[in-house]
Amino acid sequence: MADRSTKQSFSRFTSALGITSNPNRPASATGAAPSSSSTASDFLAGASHLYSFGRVSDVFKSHSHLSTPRPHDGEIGGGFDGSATSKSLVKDVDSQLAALAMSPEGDRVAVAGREVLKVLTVSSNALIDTVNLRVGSRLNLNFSSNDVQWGLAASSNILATAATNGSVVIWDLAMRAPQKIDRVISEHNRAVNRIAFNQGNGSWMLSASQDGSMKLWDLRERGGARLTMLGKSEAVRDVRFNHANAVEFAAAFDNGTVQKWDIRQPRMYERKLSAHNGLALSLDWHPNGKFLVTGGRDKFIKVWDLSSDVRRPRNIITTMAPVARVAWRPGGGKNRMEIASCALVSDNRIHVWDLRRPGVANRVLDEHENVVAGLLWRDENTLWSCSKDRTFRQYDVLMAPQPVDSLSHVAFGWSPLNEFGFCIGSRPKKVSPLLHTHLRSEEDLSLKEPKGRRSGSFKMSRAGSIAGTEPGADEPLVPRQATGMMHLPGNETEAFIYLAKHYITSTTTFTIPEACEHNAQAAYRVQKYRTSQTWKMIGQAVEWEERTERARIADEANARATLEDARQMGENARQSKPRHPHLEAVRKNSGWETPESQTTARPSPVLEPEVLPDGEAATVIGTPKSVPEHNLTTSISTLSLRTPSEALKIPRPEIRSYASTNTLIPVNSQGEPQPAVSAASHPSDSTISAFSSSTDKSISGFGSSYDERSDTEPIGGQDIPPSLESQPDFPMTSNVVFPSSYRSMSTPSSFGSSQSTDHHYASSEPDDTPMEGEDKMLESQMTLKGGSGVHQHEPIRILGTKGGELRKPWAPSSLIHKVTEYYAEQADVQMCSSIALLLGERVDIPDTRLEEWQLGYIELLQRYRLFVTVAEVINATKNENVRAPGLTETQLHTGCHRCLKPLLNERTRAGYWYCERCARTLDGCTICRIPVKGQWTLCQSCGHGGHYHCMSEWFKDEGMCPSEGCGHRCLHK
Amino acid sequence: MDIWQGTSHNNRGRNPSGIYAIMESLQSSIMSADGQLPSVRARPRLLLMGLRRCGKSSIQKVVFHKMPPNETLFLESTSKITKDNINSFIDFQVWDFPGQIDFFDPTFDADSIFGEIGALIFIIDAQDDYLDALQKLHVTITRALAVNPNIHLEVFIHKVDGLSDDYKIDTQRDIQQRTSDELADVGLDNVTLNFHLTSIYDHSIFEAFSKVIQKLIPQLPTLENLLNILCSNSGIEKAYLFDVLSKIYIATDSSPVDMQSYEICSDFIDVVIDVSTIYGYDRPTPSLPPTSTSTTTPTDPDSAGSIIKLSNGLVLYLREINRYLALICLMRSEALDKHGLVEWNVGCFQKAIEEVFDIEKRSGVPTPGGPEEGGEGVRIELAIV
Repeated sequence: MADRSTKQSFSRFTSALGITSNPNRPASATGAAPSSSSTASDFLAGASHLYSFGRVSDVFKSHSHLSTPRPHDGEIGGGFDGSATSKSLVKDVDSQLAALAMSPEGDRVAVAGREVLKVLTVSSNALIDTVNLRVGSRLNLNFSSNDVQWGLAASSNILATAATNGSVVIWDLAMRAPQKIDRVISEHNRAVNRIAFNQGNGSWMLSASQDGSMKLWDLRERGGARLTMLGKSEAVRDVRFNHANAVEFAAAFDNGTVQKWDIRQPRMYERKLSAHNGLALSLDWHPNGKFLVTGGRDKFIKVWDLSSDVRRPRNIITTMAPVARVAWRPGGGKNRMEIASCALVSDNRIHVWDLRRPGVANRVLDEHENVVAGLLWRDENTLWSCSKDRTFRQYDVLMAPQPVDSLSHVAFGWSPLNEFGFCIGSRPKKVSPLLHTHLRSEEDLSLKEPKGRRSGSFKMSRAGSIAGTEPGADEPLVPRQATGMMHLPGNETEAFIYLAKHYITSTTTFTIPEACEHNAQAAYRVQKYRTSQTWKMIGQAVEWEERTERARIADEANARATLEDARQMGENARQSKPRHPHLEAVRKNSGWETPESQTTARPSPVLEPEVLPDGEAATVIGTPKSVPEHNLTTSISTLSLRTPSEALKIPRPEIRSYASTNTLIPVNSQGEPQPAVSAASHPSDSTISAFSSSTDKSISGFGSSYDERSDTEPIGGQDIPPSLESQPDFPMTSNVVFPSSYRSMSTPSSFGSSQSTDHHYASSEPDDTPMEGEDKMLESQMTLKGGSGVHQHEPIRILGTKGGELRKPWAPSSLIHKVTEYYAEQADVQMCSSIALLLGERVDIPDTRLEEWQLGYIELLQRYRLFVTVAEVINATKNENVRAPGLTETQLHTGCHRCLKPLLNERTRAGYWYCERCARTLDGCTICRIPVKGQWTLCQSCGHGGHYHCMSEWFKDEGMCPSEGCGHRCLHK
Repeated sequence: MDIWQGTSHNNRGRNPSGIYAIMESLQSSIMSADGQLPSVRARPRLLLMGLRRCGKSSIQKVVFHKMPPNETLFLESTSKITKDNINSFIDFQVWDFPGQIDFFDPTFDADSIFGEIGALIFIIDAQDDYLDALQKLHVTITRALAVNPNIHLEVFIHKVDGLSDDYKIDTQRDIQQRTSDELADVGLDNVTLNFHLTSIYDHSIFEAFSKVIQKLIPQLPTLENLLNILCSNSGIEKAYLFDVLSKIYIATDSSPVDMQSYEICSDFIDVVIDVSTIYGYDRPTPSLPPTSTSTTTPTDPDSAGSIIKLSNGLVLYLREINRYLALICLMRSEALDKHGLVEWNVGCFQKAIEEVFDIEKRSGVPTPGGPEEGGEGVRIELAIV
């Protein structure tokens, strides 16, 4: 039952980390295939270790939540001052902030908002308020800033602010006057959203406005704009010069497009990308000048490779809120593919994303109390941000928590093919020794896989070209995890599928004993001997019950029959009645049976009636009146002997050891002096040979042989009565009968194997019977039976003394109860639910339990895609909760006759009769070519057909098939 | 019918003792960019075109007639051109074309149809095979541009509710690429086409219509600047000027529109109207008094208004501007501490809006004029909250 929950957690986990496990991966665990039964328990133990490890990781999880974030090994020295202490700083500026800009030297920052414009000096441990540019200035709409930018190079003393009323204000910090306004530019009609300075020429400034235009200014000139560029795409939200190519810039627009411009061609953009659904709000160039990152209202961050012609984004990051700002992390190495972003609304955090792991943010900075309005990287590890909560902050990114730490690193699950996959965090110092040893036994795990192999399981991006990127940029992130997969023994898939297809679970065409017999054979064929035996027991128990019932009725009828008959019967009955009354009833009853039903009804574990030919049974039992008395006793004795022997649970240590050692004894152990040994060894031999021929996978082979041993062992052990040594004569019969039946069953052509049966007889018979052929064997059996009948008084009496209680142990209700208990313990829902379905109301099992089994069985069947069996189970069940989904959630699809796939037609293009895979409508009527809806009339020989009326028209005066080139004479006129 | 049947909020406007801070003279220009005024005072037209069953009539019904989106399923197909007059802050016409219209039909008078200033909205069913639609779009654009080069061309990629996010943007990219390629082939590579992803089942169709209609409003920059000023002085996060009937916003401040705030504001209108139909009273139908003289106090005591405090610390503020327009703002709750100032500012804003539309009225049929025509400015005087 644990499988299901762990399976779910596994799939959840793998999806969370983007690890794709291939369920069809060949069972690569063959190298570690268990060769002894101890390994199997090892596997189970390993699984439970993993399970407990999963819980241990939960402890890590809560721990990492509580603990202060720790910088990564090897990254500590990366900071600019080399200290590992936090460089986080806060400054409250008493007004909402909208933007910030860094001075070219990186020591000062300008923060701007509606009512504020300040320059702060950043020292190593403090933020000092240096200049307040709004002091003394008239409160004016021109100063209500949307954006602020610091000039570069020649203009490094220049600040430019963009106002909501469309003006751009140039401030000169070098000015002596308290009012440091250099000039106010008001050429834009509507609000200016962003300004950008050119890195190459610090005097060039670009302004992007709500009116959809971008204007390029040269600050050295006092006149109007040098260039006006029209994007023709609604308002411009962001604009940035390319760091690597000073004449290029990119602009983000309200309608979601992003344009790349070259200022040498101001009439038309060079390239246009439909980047976002809704507003594109922000963009940033990668330092290499090729990649562009954009963020939009649609909650996506997209990375574009502008050096290639691909129109799709190179990477996509899905965030939780509209993206207001994006910024590439500067610096080389592994930081080069990281992006910082903040949200427009509803999220106050700054996320730092690593493109190699787009599913989860690399770092989260959660300090602000309101939405972050602006962010920029001061250097590789220091981030500056300003927010509507009126604060400016400096972060040490290395100190920020990593969300991936709070995710569970451990998961596992089972595939339908009985493979066990798991994924563990490899923390070398923390791996428990138990797990370690366990892993070592799995040599082929991807722990030792080459790196390239693992990259396949980690999908970096959904689309985009990798070609043309600089080396190293695409190096996949190697998660600190290892995944593994192994094949588990037991619960063989093939057996399950075979049984699912062959079990009879409804009594519509078969009686219960017949169905049990059938199921037993099916189980036998897949080497599930214990299951097979169980079916037989159930069949017999049910049959016995039915028969006693019939006998009771017949008894009553007979009692009322003619006096002579009654006397005759009474005479016969009296002879055995005192000792075993129920057997008497059986005998009497069998006396009235017809030979056919007799053979099937014969209470024998001998499965194939043809092994002991019908004739024999008929002669023995079929003629009631003339049967000699000792023959009757024979049939009774076989019954009485066998039935208890199956119920018998006397553990015999020495016999058990026989059974296990016998696996090593070659088949020709006939010369063995002890008949008991060969009898016990026989089933083992036969099953071993069957195993080696049936499967070549050593693992599943192990599973079956393991299973088989557990099955055969009790048979070998229990079949030998306790009186084996003391009474050499008597047990002969039981020993002979059992293995022979086994032998013949193991090979479907039972007659072909009669030779080996003979050998077996020969070996088990001491000397007195000659062995020359089948007839002889039968003879010997008969003589044995006949002969042994004489000696059988004692064992029969032993059993007969318990006769009063013997009704109980094999009464179906208690038997079935025990059987289902057992198989439920073994987690064999197939067996449990098959028994429950077949026996219906005979089973006394709580409804909830029954429902659990059946739902479990249905789920397994669905995983194996055995939908026919699912339907059978749902039809056969009495449980309403199981039936209900079958009645409501069943879908029936029409299939395409070409590709045999269902016609789903969710996006109906050309009507229902259109197969999207073949991109064609289905072939219609042979005559009119119109798709047939409703009744399809066809010739059963050639398969051509169509509309009923078309066909009937045609065949009014034709006999040939209407299909061209068919030539079949469908009607003979 | 008067939409504002009652006042749920009544404020005696009183001159606040706040600081008079902003004295701003706005150049309100009702001219189009090239200095030419609209030649005829005819209603601007919105032409809805597209293949049959692509959703033209559904869009019209949902946006302008408040039809629930689910009921559009039962709309009959349109057989002839339906003209729908919308009386609002600006009067315009919505023309719904039947899908199978033939441009080469002699009865099809392209000159009269495309001649008027307005917008051509071409609707493409994104869930269908759109190659035929693109063919038709191509023909339509060439015909329309031949008649009226100034016509606004809008493409609605419609019914995107059934598509995944990835597929949406891919579809748009594909359509955009194919269209621009085709237009470039016939030498029309400088055409401005605006693409919108829309669906009648969410607010995207309203937003798209808002953007289309905003292009037809010559006063848009003025309105936007007024809203910007209002926002910066009243602690408002986001302000919309809504057309109450269609729930289209005709202007907003320059900060980016996020869907959440737009949706909540447009739903707010429904709430207020529903409440006022229950508790409102019949007002004497305001005969739209000559604005410049009527109001001495900035706030009309009879105008409808409403305030809802949200759980996240924000406040939704609604104020009737005139018969068709409502101002809806999202503001921080601290701003309401100075409620009176906010009311005063909104009152000033209301007056300014009236002036803006008044200028348009007074300018009437324009004299071929210089820029001094727009010299008449709107004065707005706000208190800082």
